[in-house]
Amino acid sequence: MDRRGLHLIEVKSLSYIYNRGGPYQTLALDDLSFSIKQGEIIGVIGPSGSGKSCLLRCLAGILTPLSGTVLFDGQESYLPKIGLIIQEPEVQFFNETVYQEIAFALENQGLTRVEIDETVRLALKKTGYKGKTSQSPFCLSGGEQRRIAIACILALDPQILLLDEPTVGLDFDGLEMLSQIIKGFRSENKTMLIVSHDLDFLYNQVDRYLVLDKGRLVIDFTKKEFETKIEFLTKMGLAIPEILELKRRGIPEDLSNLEQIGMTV
Amino acid sequence: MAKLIVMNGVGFGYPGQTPILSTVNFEINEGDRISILGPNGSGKSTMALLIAGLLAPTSGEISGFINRPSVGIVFQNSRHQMVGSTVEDDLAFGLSLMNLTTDDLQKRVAYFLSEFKLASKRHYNINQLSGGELRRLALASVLITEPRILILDEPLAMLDKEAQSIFLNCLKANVHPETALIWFDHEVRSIRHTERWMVLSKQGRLNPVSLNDLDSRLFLKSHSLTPAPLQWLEWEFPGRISGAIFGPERITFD
Repeated sequence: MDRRGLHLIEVKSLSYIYNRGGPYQTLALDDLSFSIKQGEIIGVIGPSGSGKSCLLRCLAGILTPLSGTVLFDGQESYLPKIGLIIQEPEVQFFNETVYQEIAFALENQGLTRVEIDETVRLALKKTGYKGKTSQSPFCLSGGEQRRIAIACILALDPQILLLDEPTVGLDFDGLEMLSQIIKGFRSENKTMLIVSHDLDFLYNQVDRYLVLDKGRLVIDFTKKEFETKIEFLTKMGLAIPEILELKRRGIPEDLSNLEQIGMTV
Repeated sequence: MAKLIVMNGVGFGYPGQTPILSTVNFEINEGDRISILGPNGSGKSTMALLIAGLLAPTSGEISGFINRPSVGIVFQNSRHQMVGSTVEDDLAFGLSLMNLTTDDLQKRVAYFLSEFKLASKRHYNINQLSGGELRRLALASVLITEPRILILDEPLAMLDKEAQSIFLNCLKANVHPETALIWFDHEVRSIRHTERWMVLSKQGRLNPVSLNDLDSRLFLKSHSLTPAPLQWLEWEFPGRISGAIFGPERITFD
């Protein structure tokens, strides 16, 4: 069935409190409501501590919301395959080799050795990891660790992918790899939420933005509307993409069609 | 300017694995402001650990001048270097090993808390800090001990622009002019904050580079370095636009 246009995720009055009842309790999500259609690529932005990571964790089912609901396909009981890539990938590793790290979840799904080998190989290819699979994931550099964390999730073929600051530590090739993965998701009509402060990267990739502040959804807009929201975002202390900054300062008129040349470097 | 550290033909590798660094020759002098750029896995963090003496080279030698200068590192992940449970404890830890009087110690801690905009968080547990505050605390805890060499390993990663600008202001205001600053990154935009630039290749070699190199699309692509956000402008309009490498503030149109 073509689900294009239907709401895949519906978030209703979602709230979450960290350290509830403790001296440092923090309201991380405050009565959040929005819906996401299948195939949408969404950027979640907002200042530090605005609840972005908490939102991803609630969507992934890692945190149980204090109140409110998250419906997938309109049902409370249905949980699609969701992949979450956390901010600090090295925290999630627990195996001795890169291969074992990626194969772990596949083994638990009962795949045969041949299937596992092939899936691991494909996942690593997608992330452009060129090192040995017998290497310990703990001895890799920050950028390589992020590639392995992404490969672990891609191997599971998620229907919804949640990325928390995926560009951190990635070099030029890594950013291209990430763009390709997003492109792949787009062509397969899969859904993606990307939390990032790197608006220069997001601006080229996402269709719609959710802006959080102090746990509340303060604004929800499409890429086309970005320029009309610049003042609002700047007031919130968020940085706007450098290309828009340049436009705002009045780049020469004959160069004003800059965006059409394609910003990707 | 006095020499602080000289690396002579330094190599490093884990047993049974391809070497990460091979024959690195490098000299750090007082007051240096150096960027070392390199793609993922090129050995940036390894080199930082070698300079700090936290790893020993597997070939070549590293000589320290002036009684082995003190080296401070701000790691990629600030959480890895927290030793105190509260902001104040963490800041005071390095000083507490330096034979200061209690009065001196308290004065310096108070000064750094205010300089790094952490005074209101003085008694907070470090787990309650935001990413930006944590990174500032890491920098403050390093600078409070007055290191001769300061190493920053991708210091702006994971910070939003506001947190980046507060971090940079704190850095500029509190680094002693004679302290050598070595900034490791894979993003070309980091060169805005330094005066000398070098590139670590995937083969583990370190070479000095010029602004022209870093402004070339081909060069950045072949070294897998992340261009500054607007550098594509210069590449699309050669000869008409310059300064994109230093951000919108410095762009000029001819």
